Amino acid sequence: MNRSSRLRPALSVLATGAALALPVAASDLALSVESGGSNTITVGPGDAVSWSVVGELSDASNEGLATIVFDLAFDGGDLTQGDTPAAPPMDNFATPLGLNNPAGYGGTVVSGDLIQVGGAQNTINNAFATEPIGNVIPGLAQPGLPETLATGTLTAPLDPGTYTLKLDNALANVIRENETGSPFWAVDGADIGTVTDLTVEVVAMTSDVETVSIAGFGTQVLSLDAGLANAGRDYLILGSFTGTDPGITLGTGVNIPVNFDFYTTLTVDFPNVFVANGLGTLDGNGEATASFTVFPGTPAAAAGTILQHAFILLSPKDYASNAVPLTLVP
Amino acid sequence: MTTKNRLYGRRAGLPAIAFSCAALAVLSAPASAQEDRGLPQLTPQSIMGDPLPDLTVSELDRFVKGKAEFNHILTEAEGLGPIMNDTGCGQCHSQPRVGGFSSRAVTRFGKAAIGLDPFDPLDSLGGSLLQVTAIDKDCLEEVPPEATVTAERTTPHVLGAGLVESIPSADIEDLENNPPHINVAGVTHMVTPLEGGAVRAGRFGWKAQVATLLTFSADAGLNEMGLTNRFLGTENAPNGDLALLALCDNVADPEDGPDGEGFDRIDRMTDFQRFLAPPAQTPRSGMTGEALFNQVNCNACHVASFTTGVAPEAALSNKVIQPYSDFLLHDVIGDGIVQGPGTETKIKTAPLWGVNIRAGTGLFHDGRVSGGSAEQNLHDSIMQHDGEATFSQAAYANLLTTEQDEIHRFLMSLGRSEFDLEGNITVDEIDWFLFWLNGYFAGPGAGGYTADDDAAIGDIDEDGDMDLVDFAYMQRTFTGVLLAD
Repeated sequence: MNRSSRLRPALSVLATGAALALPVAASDLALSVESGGSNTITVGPGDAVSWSVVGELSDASNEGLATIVFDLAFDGGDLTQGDTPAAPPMDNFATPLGLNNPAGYGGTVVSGDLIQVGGAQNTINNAFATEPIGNVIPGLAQPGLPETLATGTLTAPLDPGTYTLKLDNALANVIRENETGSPFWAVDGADIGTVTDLTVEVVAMTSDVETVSIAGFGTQVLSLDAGLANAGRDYLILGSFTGTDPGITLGTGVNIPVNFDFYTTLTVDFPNVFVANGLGTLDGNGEATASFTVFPGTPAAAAGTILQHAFILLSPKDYASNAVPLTLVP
Repeated sequence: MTTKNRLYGRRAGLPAIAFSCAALAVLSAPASAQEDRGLPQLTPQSIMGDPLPDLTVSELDRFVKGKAEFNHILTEAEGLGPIMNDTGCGQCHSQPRVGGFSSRAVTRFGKAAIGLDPFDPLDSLGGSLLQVTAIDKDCLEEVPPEATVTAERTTPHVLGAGLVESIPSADIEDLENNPPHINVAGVTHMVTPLEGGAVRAGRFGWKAQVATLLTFSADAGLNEMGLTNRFLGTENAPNGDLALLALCDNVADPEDGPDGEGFDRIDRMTDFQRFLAPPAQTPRSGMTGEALFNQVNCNACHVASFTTGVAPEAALSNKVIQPYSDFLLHDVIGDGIVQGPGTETKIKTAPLWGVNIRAGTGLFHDGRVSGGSAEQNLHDSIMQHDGEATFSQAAYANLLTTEQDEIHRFLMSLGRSEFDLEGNITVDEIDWFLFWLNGYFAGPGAGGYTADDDAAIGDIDEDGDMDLVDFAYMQRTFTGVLLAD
């Protein structure tokens, strides 16, 4: 990372005497917010999404991670507290072996954000207070050995869109190189290096294919998912061959991402003709299946046309899905 | 988890592309990496005796070597004596660590002014500084019978001395020319450094009689240890007796000289003092006691802050420091000794930074206030302020006892490091135990601590609580039980 000063004098005069530590290069801690090992995940509305924060130090000029603290915020809704590590090595950062804030290792929930997720190892070799009381585990999060620092679960929002689980305000300590823990483990601050957030794509409608053949009267199966919260509600699929932007904005403020055109009229007036099951009712999971099949008489010249489909929920019309494209090919 | 690995369209009308997760990660990484997601790194204040926090490698090396010299026990062959007060700087500047203060006092003597005859420092009889010990007992000095006044001066600490040296002379002089209160009239002690250079405001010594650390080292080298050097090349004769000097002095002058790297001993001593960190102050600001301290005009002389000028070392340049002194001479309480404008009744405003470490042992230049608790000693010291400080002392006396206590609490913050809840110049297990026991470690948003709360000692980021971020800094500043230097 680009910091003005990469050199930091280590100040502490060690308990063993006047052995002053000379300035050392600070290590960087890279942090990655992931789900299933990836920084991007696609989920349905209302799905539970597990997340994890993985850290890795940039160099081995230290004896591993001593402390990690960070905030998490999700623009798709409120977060609930993360998990408390129950197994080594990260349980060594959680009270009582380590030390976390009284609210818990998984962060203090403030206005739907998680403040100060994380904890510290017992580098001070505390023996008086009842926490922290663990023995320090050195060598954590060294280069090539990324460590899962925290985990938790969030709930994806119902509205389709792109959301971010953002990590911020991170602070980390590393155990100073060649420390052995006697009489305590001296630590230095680590710089925070690259931080990669988790992108959560929420989609309410997906398809099995992107193209269908005109000559072969191909079919695209559309999967609808408005989340459990919308189970049993009626829906209507609308289509367009003129794109998605600006779409159709209803009086309720809901934007249906299909531009109004002649095909839109057809899908509204003849809902189950052009799109099978284009008008229906979501099941108990808030899901349904529909399909579009190239209708007879479609001219070969239509090849290259991109159709878009999206659905809205009815009574009230307060919810619209994402658009799903379909390219007609000869 | 219900991750759905499926094809989907994007709302913005982009082509439907089945992005691989890996591809997205690559695309998104540079954007997020441009932001700094780390908390701003705070610089904890140094523990007493530690070096300045931002020294270069070379300067830190000079500090370490200077510390060794400062602690070195000088031998006769190396130039100790023939008369001296002690064998090394660290013998007196020792509490709580090397570079600190001590109750050890030196004796000044002279002949008090009578009528039109001014004060006589009795130079010809070895005055005004008495050397209390000697290599040879035959050369031992004593206060001559001609002396009618003697004064004891205890050892001040030299913490932050390089920063004090770097205060522009004009800024000290300005406080004489534009006193912050009508009742005070400080006097600058203008002196010429032994090493040359412009006349400038003195700031070291109880009479502000020294302006630079090299002069200070050269002066102390000769007068406290008997080390002649390139600036002061003539030994002090025992009570002015040159014959005795000839008898006792067996080492050619100057006794000091360059080491393998070209540094004299006095250069090394200077380096150590120059690069010593100043005393900490915790909480750094905002205590009610400081407001009261200002309200009763203690700050008319005990000026809180200066900004250093441009020094050769970046670590000393343009730094805001809080010594709580104007480095001027005031009629407050005298010692009967005259040194330049430092007349019988004048004494330099004692810098209050680090006052907590000596409050329990002895205050004032001669340590006359001692025997009580630190708070009691502080109270008694304030009450003994006289002369120009009478108005301020009276205002203090009129405060409620609880308000006076607030001032004492503020003064006890001068020298305290972050996390040193126990107040013993270490950050150790006991400090953590006390934070924990008192429930101060309550997490983000819990506490609402102000600077007046003890919990604020653990709130390094001054956000009103003690939480995991604060503990992370406690880990960094942890000293354990410090052993002797």
